[in-house]
Amino acid sequence: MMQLLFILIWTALFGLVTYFSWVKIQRHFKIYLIMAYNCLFLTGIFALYPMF
Amino acid sequence: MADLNVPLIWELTKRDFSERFAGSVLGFVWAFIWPLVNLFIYIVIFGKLMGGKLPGSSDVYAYSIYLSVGLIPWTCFASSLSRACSVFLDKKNVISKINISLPSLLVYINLSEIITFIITSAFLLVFLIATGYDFHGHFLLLPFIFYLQQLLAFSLGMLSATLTVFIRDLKEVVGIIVQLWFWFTPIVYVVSILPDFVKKILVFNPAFIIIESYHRIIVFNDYPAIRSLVILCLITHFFLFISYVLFRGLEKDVRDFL
Repeated sequence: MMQLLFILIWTALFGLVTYFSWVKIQRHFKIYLIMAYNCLFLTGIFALYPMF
Repeated sequence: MADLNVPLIWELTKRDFSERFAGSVLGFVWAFIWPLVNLFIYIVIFGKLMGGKLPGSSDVYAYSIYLSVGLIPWTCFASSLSRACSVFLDKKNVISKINISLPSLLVYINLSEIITFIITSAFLLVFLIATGYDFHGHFLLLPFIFYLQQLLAFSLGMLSATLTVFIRDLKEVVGIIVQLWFWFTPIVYVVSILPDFVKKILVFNPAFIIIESYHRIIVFNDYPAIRSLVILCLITHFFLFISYVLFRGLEKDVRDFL
């Protein structure tokens, strides 16, 4: 249950950050920023999941 | 660069399916028949008739599940990569007619293969439920491992698609690499049968980390190798970055060359 909760919160958090970055930032470098978010998101899922 | 056009990506994906089964009486139903037949081959032919056994397991379906769990994601990964390789050349008529973002074409290839993967996995899930499989918490990680796998296919696909426009032979080279990669990854055999020196090299194979994660979660009811997955995640994003930088640098030339 805690694992599911962690995944939902983590996904929602990164989903929101990514969405707002995509909408608000008009410059081209936002793609690289989204890549960095995505890397952090997946790394966090794999690294933090066993802790729950 | 034109933005990603979601309706166009969806339209291309739908057309990909309709073209695949164009003119046939059953049409889209074939998209369900093919995965079912493949699963039948993995389970009945390889597992039951050929008597494949998984070392250390007495379950009659253990090898069938091991094989299916490795082959289904691999097929999705390999098809995404192979098809992405020549997508700019295959769709040059579309590219020259409308101002389409080129990565959209890679997204539609991935989406199309993901749909096939979902259909096949649904059949496998039904089989697991029918055989009384015990599901556990680690299953929650599966969508993220799959996401990482397709991201790697996307990154390598973008790299090869960009380069194939200039070096046409690359399409054949990628086909050969994918074929060799398949046999260098423990999908139809178990890792324990390999000599020690091969096992040492195997950790540098990204597909091994992904397929082993599926095996550990579904077949062995265990956690995947977290450290390897984190490293693979970093490597995949590095590839994605490099592929995108290269693509951006060559995008104008790609359009001119087509």
